[in-house]
Amino acid sequence: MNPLTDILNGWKARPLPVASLMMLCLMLSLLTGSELWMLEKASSEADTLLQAWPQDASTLLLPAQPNPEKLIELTQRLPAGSWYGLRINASTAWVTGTLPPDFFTGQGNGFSPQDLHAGEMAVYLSAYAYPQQIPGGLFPFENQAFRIYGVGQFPLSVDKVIPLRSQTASIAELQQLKIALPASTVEPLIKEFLQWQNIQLIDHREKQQLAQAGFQKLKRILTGITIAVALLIAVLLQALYQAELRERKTEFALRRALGATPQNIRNQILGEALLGSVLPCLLGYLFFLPLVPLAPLLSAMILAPAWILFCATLPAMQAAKLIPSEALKGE
Amino acid sequence: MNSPRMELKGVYRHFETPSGNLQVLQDVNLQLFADDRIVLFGPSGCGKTTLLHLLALLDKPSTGTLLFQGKDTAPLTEKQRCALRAHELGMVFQQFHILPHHSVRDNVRLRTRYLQESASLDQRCEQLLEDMGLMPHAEKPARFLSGGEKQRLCIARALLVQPSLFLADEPTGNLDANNAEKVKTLFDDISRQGAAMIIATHDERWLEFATRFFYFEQGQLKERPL
Repeated sequence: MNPLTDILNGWKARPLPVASLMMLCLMLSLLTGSELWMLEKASSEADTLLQAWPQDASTLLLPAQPNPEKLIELTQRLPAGSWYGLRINASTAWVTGTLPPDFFTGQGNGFSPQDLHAGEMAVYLSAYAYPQQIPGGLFPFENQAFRIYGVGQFPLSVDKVIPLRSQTASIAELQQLKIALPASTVEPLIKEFLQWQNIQLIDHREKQQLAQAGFQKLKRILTGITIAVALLIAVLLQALYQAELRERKTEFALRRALGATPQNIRNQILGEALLGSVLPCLLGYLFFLPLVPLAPLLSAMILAPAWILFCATLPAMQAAKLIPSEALKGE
Repeated sequence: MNSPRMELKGVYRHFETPSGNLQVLQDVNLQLFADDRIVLFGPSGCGKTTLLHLLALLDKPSTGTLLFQGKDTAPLTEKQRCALRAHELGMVFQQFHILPHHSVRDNVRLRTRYLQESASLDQRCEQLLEDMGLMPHAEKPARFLSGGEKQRLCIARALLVQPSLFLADEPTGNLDANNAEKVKTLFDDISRQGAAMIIATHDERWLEFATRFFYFEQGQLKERPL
């Protein structure tokens, strides 16, 4: 007799336990699939946040009406030859004087956000508008040389501008400038400046660490839930298998009487468990196919039936050890 | 004289129970030859089924020796015992023990799952279904058979491999007189095919079928001349 036919006929004999087993497997796949989806979602959110925040950079948020004199004073207090930048909300950027039209668009300047290096202090100046578009606006760094350090997509995001102590740098020259001042030098000055202006300093490194810690925490929680669910299902499966094997004691004894070895019995139970778990697990995980990347989903598709097999191993071994004469006398 | 198919020498079998040791078989000695039709007689609980299970290699003696075709079965591995059960032994159980949702044919062929070579048994299976009058029900789930048909199914299942030792536990215990007579005729045919046979029963009508007659007395197997 074909082993598959044997298993399918056996299922017909026990529709309720088999349905319960399949429901448990479906539950396992749906729960773990949901957790994978949540992890993926959290991971992509964290990635988005981390990408939005430049690595190793701080942002100085200016108040609506920053005091240009104070900013200039701060600039002057920096060590000679050093540079720094400020990030200003576009809607409140003060622009004075005239800058080249492509200054903020970044056309041809050749810089990118990757130019930021670990340990450097970067403060960005952002502006939507060309200076020409806000005629008469104030720019706090008038008479300063500026370096376009990196440029976002105009006009939706923020340009990065570094004011320099140098009075004469052209864009071409600025492209040659190297970042020189570590964050540890600039940061105390900025912090001091903040005390005058009541300006909030947001350190992206802290945010990044917080985001990473938050994500790790979420990951731990979801992993904990997955383990708890897997254990719960293991307990339920054990109970289900124990009850089922008690019911099927005579069948296994009969098979033993007809020549089945303990290994045959064990393999039959494991085969039934595998067949009974693969289909509902596949079904459950297919539901998450559009939501979760393939790699973790494939791992789950392998791990879930493997877990069911693991849960079935102990009852299968018990059934294999059954003494046929006792079971056949039992009825 | 032929060597015995099976031989029991000083076999004891006891079971641990909450109330102590239950001695079921005591110093059982038996030689079973190819042409034997042994009827084991005795009331329920006297040890008939225990003896049949020992002979079917489903159980092991507490002490004593059980020889199959001259070889001691004690040192056999479980796998070797299973192979002997699959190829050499046929047993009919009192309670049928069928797989109710499998077809009648699949029930008869169940043993083939545990045999290395089973292709040649397809024809044998069809022949047995025909001989037992089960062919019209071959595809039906076995649970739909009547008591007599179930018994015939069990006999067909036991005979699939043409066993050298055929054991039957109360083969007519659940049957009416008409079906019981049919079973007896079948057993006669089986015996003619060369299987040594032991029938455990408390139905005295089997005595006319027997070539040897045994009964239990306080766990001891005693032979009475016919």
